[in-house]
Amino acid sequence: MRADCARACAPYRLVLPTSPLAGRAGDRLGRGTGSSLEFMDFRDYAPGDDLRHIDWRSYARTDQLKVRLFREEISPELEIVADFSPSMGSSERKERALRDLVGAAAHWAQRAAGRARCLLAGGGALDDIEGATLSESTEPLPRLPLRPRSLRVWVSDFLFPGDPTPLLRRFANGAAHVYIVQLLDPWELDPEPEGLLRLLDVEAPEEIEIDLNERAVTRYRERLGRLRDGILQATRSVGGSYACVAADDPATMFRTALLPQGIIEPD
Amino acid sequence: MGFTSPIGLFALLAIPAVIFLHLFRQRFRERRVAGLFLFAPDALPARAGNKRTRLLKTPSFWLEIAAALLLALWLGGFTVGAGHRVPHLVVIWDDSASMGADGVPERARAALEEALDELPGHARGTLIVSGTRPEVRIGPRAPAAFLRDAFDALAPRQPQHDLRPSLLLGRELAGDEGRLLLLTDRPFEDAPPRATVRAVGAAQGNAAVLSARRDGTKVYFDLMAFADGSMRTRFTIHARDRELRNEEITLPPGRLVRLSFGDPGPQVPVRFALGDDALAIDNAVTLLPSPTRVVPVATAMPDETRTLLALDEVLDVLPAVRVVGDRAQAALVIADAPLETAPGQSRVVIRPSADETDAWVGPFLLEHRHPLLRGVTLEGIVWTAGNTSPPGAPLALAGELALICEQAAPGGALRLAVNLDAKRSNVAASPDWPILWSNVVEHVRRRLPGPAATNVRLGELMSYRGRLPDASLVGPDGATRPARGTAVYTWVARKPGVHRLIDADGRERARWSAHFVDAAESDLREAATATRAPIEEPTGGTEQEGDFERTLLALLLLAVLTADWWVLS
Repeated sequence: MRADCARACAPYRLVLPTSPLAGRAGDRLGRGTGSSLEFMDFRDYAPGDDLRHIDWRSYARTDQLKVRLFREEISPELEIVADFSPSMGSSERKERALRDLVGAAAHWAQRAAGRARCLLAGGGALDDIEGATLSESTEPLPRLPLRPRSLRVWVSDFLFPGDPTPLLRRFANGAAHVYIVQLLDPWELDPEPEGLLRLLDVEAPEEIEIDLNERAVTRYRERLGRLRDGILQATRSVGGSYACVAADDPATMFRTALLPQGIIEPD
Repeated sequence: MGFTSPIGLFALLAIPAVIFLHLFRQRFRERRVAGLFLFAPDALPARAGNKRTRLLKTPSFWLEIAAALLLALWLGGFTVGAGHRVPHLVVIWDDSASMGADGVPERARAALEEALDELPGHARGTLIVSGTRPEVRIGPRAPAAFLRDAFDALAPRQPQHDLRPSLLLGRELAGDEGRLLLLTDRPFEDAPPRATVRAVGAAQGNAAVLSARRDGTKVYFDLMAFADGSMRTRFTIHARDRELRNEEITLPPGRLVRLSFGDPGPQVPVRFALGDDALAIDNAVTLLPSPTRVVPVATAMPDETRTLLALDEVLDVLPAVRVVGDRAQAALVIADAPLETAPGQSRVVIRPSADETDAWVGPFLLEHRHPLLRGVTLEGIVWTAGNTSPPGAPLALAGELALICEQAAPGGALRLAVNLDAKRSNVAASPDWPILWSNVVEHVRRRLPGPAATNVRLGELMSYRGRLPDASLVGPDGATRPARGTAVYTWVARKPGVHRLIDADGRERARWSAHFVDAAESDLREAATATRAPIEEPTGGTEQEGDFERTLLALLLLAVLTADWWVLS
């Protein structure tokens, strides 16, 4: 991660959900039983149980061996799905912002004593965020299965036609929480009239000619607004968090988009 | 606004060409986008080949339209306003009557058309009508086409006059760049070097009435033939509508022929007319009855004094003088003491200014420029006068003693103080005495109400004394001119014929007959057709006209093209 991005990440931490999480042993209470100090339940003794957890008082009263169960302590596991499709490279600023956001999410996961796993949309694991190149993919979700009860971050521009709800449901299936970060170039978010344009699709050999006047810009903004509303509704339907980010320097993106949308909070 | 090269406006065809190109060939900037589908509904119709597309009114389109327009204007030689470099033709029209001779107006018109045809459409023109006071009839710097309309209204009637003041005015109006065109009927060598002189006359024989008058018993007409040989023509005389004579007459060349006839009546207008010839304006004369302008005179002095001054005898011999007993009816009161007089009533007081008198035999100093002393010499006179000068402006002095003084009076009335002791003077017996009174009476007569003269020449004044508010003068052609003034109304006689003064109630108050008399103009033998080309050209030629506009247009065109390139890039 770039140094300035690391500096911009420092004042914030990821907002974790209040519901119990799943993950490896750590310092966060998990949804299962474990070895924390927080009592959770009793159950009958089974051979192999830790004898230190047998409730002897209960055995004295009931003559039955009961084992005290404690909440497990886990480390949150964050899975970051990064859309490295060519559409994220429609501008250098957008591509730069993608790497910053993915790096920041991984950084915040590590700060939370958790683990982060970066995955390429339509691909496998993403080991080197800075070194990764944009490539075409036919599938918006990673080929690798997502771990159950993990925190999941999806950074993409979500600029594809159709209803995003089924896709988001697939993404959120089994997740403890999902963070949907829609990253757009400022021009994509708020274009200005530019007159005659030949618009080339960055991912397909398609083009259209358009007179990008005030009217066309207004209509584009309306359509983009409907797309964003759809993503927001779909995110809410799965209990996730949504933020639309205009590609910019990391500090600005964090302060103006992620912080107001409750994805991060001051550390 | 105009165009020096209207054919350049064909370049306006570039405008539809630009529109055509924009319909069939549009330039698009390329941009890579991620969400192409969000723009797709607004995509322009797909083009195939050179199919026409919707015309997009882009900045580039408007800039190219502007460039095409500017180019057309530049090629067309667009000029704005009456710029100092716009071609300017100053036409000086010789308005002397001979320009109305047969064939001259037609040739003058052709010469004007020829000059106008050489000018571009946006040229400017000025028409100066010559005269003792040149008149700018069109312009300065009116559209040159206006000259044609104004030319049709020209009616030369003026007597011979110097053309140089008109040429001088034309040269001033033309400045350094304008052209001068003098239209006259005879060669004129004294024109400025820059002037083109077009003489459009032709030598012709012409008979003219040179003078006409009536004395109450007879009517006199002086005729002359300006020709190389005798001219036979016909004349008619009408008294009102009754024809008195209709005869043929042979006029010898260059000799005055006087015709006299019995006056048909002092109040009957007489019209004399010659037959048609080369110049019509000098063929007819109407003599109106002369106005009756009797001066009523009253005396206010003892009989002895009146006898000493021989006033009865003097007033008796003066023409058109009537002695009245009622002072209120008199236009002139002669008294031996100051009297109250009505406004406008003239008064002459004859008495010594002081009890002590001196007798003077000369020398006398007279104000000969004053009309009252015209012809008065006071030679051989013994003038006894009071030894103090009466008030007023002295007209006659003996040493430092004023003998006759004119005093100011309202309404133009005459107030005369004559410092004279009639008993000790022989003035009344001298020849100067009736002359002096004649001058006084004529002076008063000129101030009587009514027209001063009824038969005038063109160019002379027709004047009327009296109060006629809202009156107007009706010319021979029915055109009216308002009477401007309070007590004296004057008009310059510009058209031959009878003019009538009509008061506010529609009653005719006076009439004048104006006729043309000028032997120099009637003599057409020197008229000729000739052209004198300008000796030097204007310093500012038409080649440089509209330079400022062309430069400005070129700069604008360059700016627009640059802006278009910038927009497209």
